[in-house]
Amino acid sequence: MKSIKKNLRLYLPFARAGMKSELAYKAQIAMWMIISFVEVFFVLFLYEAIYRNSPGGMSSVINGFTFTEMVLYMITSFMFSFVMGSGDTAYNIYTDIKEGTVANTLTKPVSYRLRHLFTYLGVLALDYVVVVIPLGTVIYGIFIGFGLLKVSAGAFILNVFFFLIFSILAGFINDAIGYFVGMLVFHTDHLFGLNMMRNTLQSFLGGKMIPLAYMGALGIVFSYTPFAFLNSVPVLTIMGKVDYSTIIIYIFIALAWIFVIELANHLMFKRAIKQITVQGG
Amino acid sequence: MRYLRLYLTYAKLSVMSKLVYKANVIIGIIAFLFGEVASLVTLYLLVSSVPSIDGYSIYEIGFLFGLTNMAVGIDHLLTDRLWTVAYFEVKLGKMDHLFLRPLPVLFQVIASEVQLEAFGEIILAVAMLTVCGLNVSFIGGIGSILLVVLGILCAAVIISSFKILVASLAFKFKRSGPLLQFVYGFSGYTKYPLKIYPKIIQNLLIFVIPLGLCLFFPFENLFSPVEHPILLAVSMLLATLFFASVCGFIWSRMIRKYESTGT
Repeated sequence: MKSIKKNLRLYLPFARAGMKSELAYKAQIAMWMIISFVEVFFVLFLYEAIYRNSPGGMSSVINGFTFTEMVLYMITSFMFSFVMGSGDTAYNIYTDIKEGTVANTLTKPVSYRLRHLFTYLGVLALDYVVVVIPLGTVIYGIFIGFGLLKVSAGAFILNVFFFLIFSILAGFINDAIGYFVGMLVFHTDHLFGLNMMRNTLQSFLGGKMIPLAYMGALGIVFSYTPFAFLNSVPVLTIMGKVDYSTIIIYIFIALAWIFVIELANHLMFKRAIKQITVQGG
Repeated sequence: MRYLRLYLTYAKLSVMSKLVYKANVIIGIIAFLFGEVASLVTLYLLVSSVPSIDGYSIYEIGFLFGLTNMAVGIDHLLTDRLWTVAYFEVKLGKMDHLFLRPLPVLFQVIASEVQLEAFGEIILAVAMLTVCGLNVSFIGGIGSILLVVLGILCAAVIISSFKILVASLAFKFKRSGPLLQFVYGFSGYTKYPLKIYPKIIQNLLIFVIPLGLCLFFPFENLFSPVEHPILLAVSMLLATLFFASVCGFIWSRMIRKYESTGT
């Protein structure tokens, strides 16, 4: 207990710093939000055309989604992916390596991994307070208020509870993947390309570009990848499209992924610091 | 002629410096190819869930996807440095040296970067145009194909001009990268038939940002040829020229506001 308290005292300032640095770019957050929503707006026209052209018309159910559900899925998905896109552990590691500051940080009595994790958790917490909670309340308020999402109060509270659990797990997975990409930067400095591949995987396997239900059997396989926890699983959970026994299984799978990725990160870091060369001056 | 010679020298230097880090070039190309393949698979999964979209078959939509990707790829290949101008160079005052040379700054910005990663987009575009082109029945003849080629070139110029316009705002506001990201997204919306959008967006993509005019109309012309293709070609050229001139004019005004960083 004492050591947890001691660790929190040591690392919470990093979380606060993460929050402050995110707050410094308020205009940028607002701009990214606008970009995300214009993007979803245009994607919805494509979905509208698809439903309009399906044999059953606008009231069709395609791959388990009515048009209204698809609208809600896309909006929630873009909101959630927006938050998962913030925080930049990979970029921070890249900067550490490029500027040689990695040498300084390694000499300090703080864990390199935990330093980055807490910085990211600060950013994530702020994004939840500023983006997810207010926007989610408005979106789901409208959908439930107008009867577009039919769900009882008790079931919705339970869905929100599991959504929050998945959000925390998603935060840990997201940062673990970011750190993994950061470890790759020790071997190649092309962060832009690596990040692009990561974003594509995250969008595609996470069901941001299209729900995994559209991918048939492959979609079921993809729903167990770590990327699914960065979008598809939390979004479907809050929409009430995942049954509770599956939710419990998903929670264990998410925990297993965190363990596996962190283990890989640990091994990669041990290898990376053996070969790192920093310019003297 | 002098500018062409200079451009080739700049471009050669850019390619040589990039090829020093071959692994990075390969990662970049694969990353872009990967991203585009993912959006193509997405499009396929979506469109294949219905018989057709507003009368367009999956191959026809794939062909349009290829046309847009080709225009985006050409722009990406030739004008990629505008991104760093919009995001960092003005803000960090890293453009001073460009102002000291006896050449237009815009020319130097464009000529000094040939982005090989764009081949990821171009390779996929060629594949899409070939595969989908073989599976659709065109009515138009060689003239229609030339119109499509002209459309791709005009669309590439429009995308680049739009980037020039938005990047130039950085001279006044120090950073215009996020805004550039926003407007760049418009190029992606012409990957789908214009008809799926409401009238207001269709008009926006035809009259304001004439990407729809240059990509969708020549595409349509392949299936139902227009009566006066020359008129369509002239309209595309004039719209592109006008759009590029306006963007160039705004760049020339904005650049006067450039301030170097103090010490």
